[in-house]
Amino acid sequence: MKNINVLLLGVVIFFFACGKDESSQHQDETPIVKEQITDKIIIEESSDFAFAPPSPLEIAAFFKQAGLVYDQTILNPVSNKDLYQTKLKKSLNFGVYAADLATCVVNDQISDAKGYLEATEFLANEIGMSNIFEETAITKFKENIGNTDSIIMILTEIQMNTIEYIESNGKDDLEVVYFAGAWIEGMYLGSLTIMEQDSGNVVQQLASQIEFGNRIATGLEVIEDQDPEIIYIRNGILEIVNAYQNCESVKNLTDEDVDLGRLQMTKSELKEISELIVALRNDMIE
Amino acid sequence: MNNMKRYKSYIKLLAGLVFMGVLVSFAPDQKEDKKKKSSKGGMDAASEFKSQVAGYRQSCKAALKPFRYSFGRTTYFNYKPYNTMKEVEVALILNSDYKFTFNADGVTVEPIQVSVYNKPASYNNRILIYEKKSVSGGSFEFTSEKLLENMRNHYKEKGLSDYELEKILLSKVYVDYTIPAIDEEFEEDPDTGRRKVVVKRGAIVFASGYENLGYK
Repeated sequence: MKNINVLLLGVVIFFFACGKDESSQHQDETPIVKEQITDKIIIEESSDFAFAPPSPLEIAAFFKQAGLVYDQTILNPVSNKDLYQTKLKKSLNFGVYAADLATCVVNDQISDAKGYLEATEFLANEIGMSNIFEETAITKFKENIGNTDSIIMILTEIQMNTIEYIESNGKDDLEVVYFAGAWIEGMYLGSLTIMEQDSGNVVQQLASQIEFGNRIATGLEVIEDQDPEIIYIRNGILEIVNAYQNCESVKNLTDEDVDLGRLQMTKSELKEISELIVALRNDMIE
Repeated sequence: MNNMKRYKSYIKLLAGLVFMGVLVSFAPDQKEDKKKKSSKGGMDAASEFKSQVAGYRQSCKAALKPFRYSFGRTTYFNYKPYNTMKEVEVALILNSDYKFTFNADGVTVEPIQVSVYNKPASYNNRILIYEKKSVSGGSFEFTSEKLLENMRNHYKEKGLSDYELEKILLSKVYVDYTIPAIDEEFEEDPDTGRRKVVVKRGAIVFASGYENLGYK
């Protein structure tokens, strides 16, 4: 019996000892996902979503400049906003609507833009981001219909508030999903531009955006709650990135070719990638 | 008699277990208790720092003028006893002019280095297109035109024609923050009396702005 007591005491002491070790390791930094040693410097990849994409306004303006003709029917209908029941769908389509709103504005389609602003605000409220819309945003918007510059200023403020909200509240998960939505919609609009216009510049821009997909896929991978929908979106993005990287025109490129804008993709390569983008985007907005 | 002995033994064992249970539940190092204390103490300092950094973000955004806000990214780090590096990938719209502003008021322990490359750290042959050493406090800025000029200079040295130099594209840049090693300091945890590493935090704020939307 004495032996049993000694054993039990040992077990208790063991648990105490384990507790002490954990305490001494306490650090309050974001957990490191991966470390890589290069020339005595440890490259730290934290769970921070360490990228800075262009704003939806810039992307929309680029495609307009490249020749994308405005057509409201290619955008995600405003009425779809009521279809989205999960937080994931709401967050994804918050990104989609942000891209569509920007498309309306740069094309001076302000009455359409009003509907997209309301849809964006609706979804922002649903996902707990009501703070990004100042009370006066919609009022100011209405007052400035006809003044695109002022409308652009309002959208810029919303973009600034969105990023501030995400940074202040450490909403990494929300951020990556929002960007995934905006990225896919931007890629979709880019694909349509390529189908309509034979613009080399759009190919370079689209190629650069596609490569960004890897970063978004990594961000989606570290989301704690791996909902099947997240896995589906992530796989869809990776399929697009892989299809691009496996194109013969891309495989043969040197770094210098990329820097000097020498990428030229064939029509069949562009068609294959565009179809993947359109399919993923259409699934996402359903 | 034997039954009585066995009964007493069980009583002793039970009493021993209860005693140990009480000991465990009142132990000052209880895991749950520890968690509360460390997170409370740690969070206070971290929250205070984050609130200061929020102010730096405002200054950084204001410095973008007359460019329009595109994006912002705050990079937090803890100094370690070895050199570390954090990288931010920045996507640009082709042919757009950008201004990049940095606020380093959150870098107070040791100066860091800011380097900008055309490719990520995983590439061996990337081109360094901007570098600023000893960044600590204050702010600084540069434009995408400056980065493009440095890219052109790189290729010019390689013998590229002016015609080809004009075609250079800058669709993405990689901002690397190199954080120097520091000597670790230790302090006594007032709650547990144990020695722990003093966390030395830092943060650098980055914002990008575009000059115009190009299509007008």
